[in-house]
Amino acid sequence: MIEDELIKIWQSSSNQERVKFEKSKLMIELKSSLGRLHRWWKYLELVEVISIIIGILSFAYLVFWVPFTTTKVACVLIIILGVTTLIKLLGIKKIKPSDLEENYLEYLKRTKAYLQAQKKLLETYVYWAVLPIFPIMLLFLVGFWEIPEKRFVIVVTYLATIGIGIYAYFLNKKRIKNEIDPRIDKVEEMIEELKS
Amino acid sequence: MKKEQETIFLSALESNREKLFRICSIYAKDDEDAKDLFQEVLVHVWRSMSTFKGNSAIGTWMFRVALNVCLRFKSKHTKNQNRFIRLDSITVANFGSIENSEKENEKLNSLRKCVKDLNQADKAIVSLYLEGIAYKEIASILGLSENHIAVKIKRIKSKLLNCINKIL
Repeated sequence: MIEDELIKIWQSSSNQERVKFEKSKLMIELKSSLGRLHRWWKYLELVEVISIIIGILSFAYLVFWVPFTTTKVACVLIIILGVTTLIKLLGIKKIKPSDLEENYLEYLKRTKAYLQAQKKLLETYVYWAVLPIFPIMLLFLVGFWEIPEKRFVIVVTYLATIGIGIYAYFLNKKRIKNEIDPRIDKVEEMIEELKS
Repeated sequence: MKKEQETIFLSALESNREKLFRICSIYAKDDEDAKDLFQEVLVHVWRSMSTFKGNSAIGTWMFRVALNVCLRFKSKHTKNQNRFIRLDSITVANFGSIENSEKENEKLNSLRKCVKDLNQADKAIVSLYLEGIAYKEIASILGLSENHIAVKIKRIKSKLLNCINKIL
């Protein structure tokens, strides 16, 4: 078989498979599909923003409502932590490769950078989110210690916070190992294959 | 403006539909997958139409978008199957061996199998080469130099010929 025959054979598949479309119907479907997608993205963004605003407002309300100074300080710190998390998440979103018109190599490089940023965020999550929440929660609960009947609840709540923190740490480790690392390896392999 | 975009899109699709479908079929695991991926590609091509600046031929631009969609699909394949969009206006008709001789079909199936066995990067290059796209355009779509593409295509062709000869 001669080399040029490859192209001929490949293109002969047009005799086997033919793509047909109705122009007007296709345009209607494409427009409505995109409309649905946009609405879905807007909905997701709205849910995220509303949940964060509700969280911030709840703690802001607690700042005025609770009588204990330590709890007030903790509420402010939780709000700051929430805003920091939001900023970090938005920062990651910014580098998400969305431009499909870039060349293949550039698209792969951007995908790799995005995945590495995600990995770094999850790896460092324990330092900027999990560890700070422990002293903040202690500060939050310590004011209520003055009420003897609340002490058991305080201990349980704090232990639960520690448990959730440890669970979040291992969950992130698992996500990195099972989801992100294999994708980074795959993208790196593709970049290498292209360059070799 | 929208109407003009629509006309450009439909006419480019008219002349490139089979080519785009074949590119999708390289990345798909079966025929159904290829149809799903083709629909996904069309939605993304239409979505990006407003940013098409005419710096390259519309066909070249479409292949670029298609390859990146295929890549995205491939890396998320197991997770997001349910996110595909259904476009009823698109049909892919299989004519089987009506127009091709048995020998030709055998060759085509072997070639398809061999292409699927290539690594991801070689698949991207060969999918464009087999569509008869010039080296210069392939280089621009993939972000590599023309010389690099020429060397790689030579290597891939030899791999493919070896593979096909083993099967036939």
